[in-house]
Amino acid sequence: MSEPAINPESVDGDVALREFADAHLTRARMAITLVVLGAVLVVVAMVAAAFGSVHIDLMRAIADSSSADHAILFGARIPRVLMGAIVGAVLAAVGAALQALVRNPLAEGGILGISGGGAFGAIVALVVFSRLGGADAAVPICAFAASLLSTLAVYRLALVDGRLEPFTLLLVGVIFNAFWGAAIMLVNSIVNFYFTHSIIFWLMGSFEAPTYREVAMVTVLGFIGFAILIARARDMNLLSLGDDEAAELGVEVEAVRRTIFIVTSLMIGAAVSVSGIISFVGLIVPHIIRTAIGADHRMLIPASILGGAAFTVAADLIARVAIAPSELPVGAITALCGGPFFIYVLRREGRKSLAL
Amino acid sequence: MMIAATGLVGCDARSNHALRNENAPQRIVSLAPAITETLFALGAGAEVAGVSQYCNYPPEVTKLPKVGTFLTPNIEAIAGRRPTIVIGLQTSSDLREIRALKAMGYRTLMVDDNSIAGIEASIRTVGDAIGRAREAQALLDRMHLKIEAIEERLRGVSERPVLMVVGHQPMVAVGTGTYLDELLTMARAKNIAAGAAQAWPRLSIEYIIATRPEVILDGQMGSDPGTRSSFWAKYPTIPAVRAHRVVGYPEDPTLHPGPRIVQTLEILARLIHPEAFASERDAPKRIANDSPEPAIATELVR
Repeated sequence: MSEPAINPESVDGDVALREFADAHLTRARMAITLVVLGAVLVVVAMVAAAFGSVHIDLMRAIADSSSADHAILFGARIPRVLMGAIVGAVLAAVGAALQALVRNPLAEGGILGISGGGAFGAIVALVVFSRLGGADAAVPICAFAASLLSTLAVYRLALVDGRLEPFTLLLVGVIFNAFWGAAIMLVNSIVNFYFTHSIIFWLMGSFEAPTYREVAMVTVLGFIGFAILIARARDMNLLSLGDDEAAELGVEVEAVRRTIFIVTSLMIGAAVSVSGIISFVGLIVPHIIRTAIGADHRMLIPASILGGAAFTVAADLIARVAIAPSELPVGAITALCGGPFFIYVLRREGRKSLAL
Repeated sequence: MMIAATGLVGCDARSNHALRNENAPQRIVSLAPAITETLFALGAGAEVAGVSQYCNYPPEVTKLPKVGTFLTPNIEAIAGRRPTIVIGLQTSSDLREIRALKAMGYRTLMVDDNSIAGIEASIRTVGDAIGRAREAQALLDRMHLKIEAIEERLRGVSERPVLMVVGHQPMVAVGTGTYLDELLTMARAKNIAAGAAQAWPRLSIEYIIATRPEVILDGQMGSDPGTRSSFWAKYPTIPAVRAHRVVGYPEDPTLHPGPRIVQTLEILARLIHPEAFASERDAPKRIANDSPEPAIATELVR
């Protein structure tokens, strides 16, 4: 992350980079941006922990571990804020990486058909295990397994002459997405209608009542993914120029592409397995950050991680308090708030900001 | 448009009333489990020509031809049963399908299943429509006797704060304006979900911790015994969790808003106030146990 801006081994690469970044990337500029975004995330997370569907006395919550305030803060609210933060970070980082991978500004986790596969796995597990017992534990495992199978299938089908072809990958992913959506609707019409609530839950996404173990699982997988994506950030910059240009500049195009695809798929699988499909975060957060700080992935990926976390925690806060004590699906909030804001940024910045 | 259609449906049932001979055997298509149960409880089981896919009680209905669900009734399958009357639910039936059936000349009747008063009125309306008004009155009398017996048993018992959830993901609870909320009140429960304005609110876990229910009725546990340890144990400050008063309830008959609501009332009363029933362990088994047996169920309905 603290990679020096001028890399002595590829002066050419950095010349090319100037086309993406508005200004030259320096340690200082990077540090300031990340500190600002980090501070925003901390403030949003603290506000989200302080407010919810019921009022709690924070002093008593901390002082008295047998109080309901303590149970609400540490048992319900903090795991939820942590889950929103890590899932939002994963979705935004994956969105930024996939937009570079397929060279398409519309790319995000959902478009590769992986989250649809995960949601399908979750719903089938829910229907099957609600009869056999143990649904709460089985559902995330099955969701993750289904997203892995989906990843393998999409990968295999997108290979053209042994190469992962971005255009084919995008089309296969879109078709998988539609396929899984149809499969979910098919299940919905076969099973008892009491499952409809659960099916909407997986399609719209939610962070309700997570366990610390689930938070830990997504955090571990997420951070491994962040490390790999940040290490590949320079390659992503060069891939944006085109395969041949990237290869000339020393990028092993196929290997990089395969790595990014597998890593992002695992990250999306982990996120979907605990929170369902949360749309828009992976699309709008990287774009908004790109308009603010430029398209250099060494900056864009870490900034998307922080921005995605802050945005999602804020959206979940709205989902929790808007019609308290009832909840709204967080995916509806990310889309409702994110959509218009995204259009606003798009219109203000003009078309050039969308160029990768 | 929807209001107009509902109005039409209501008028239709009434206007046809005088024109038809209700005493002739009917060919009845039922679009919902509670309606099928009402028809069998009225002794009209032999006249039921088609049922919804969700209908499962009494057991013999599973052998009857299926005509779709109350969400998506299949017009062709319904017409294929040559019904003299099609009975569905006001709130959830697809009004386009009902309109099409009416246009094809079929007699339709839409009933209300959202409240106990609505359910009782539905039993009466259905009885009138199929020439079994006397049976309907007798069924309602038996239901009232049963309700009085349970209320008698709960006399003097103090109200308990109770949460009744349908599922976990999302946490959908029984809220105000539902027949189950009314049954909870009759079972001397204070429904904590009444704080939310919706009929089926999606409650936050924070709210549940803060409102401290003493009993949690968990529909997911009714069919999934592994749920308690993995889910509720995370929230030990909830009195119901600490006192091991998180209990499952069977989906059938609880979620069937028909004549078996009296059985549901008894199930709820026993789960919420077990001590009120403790003294009657050796008494004749007039009252159903937690997992209803068909024999007892039949007794209740007959």
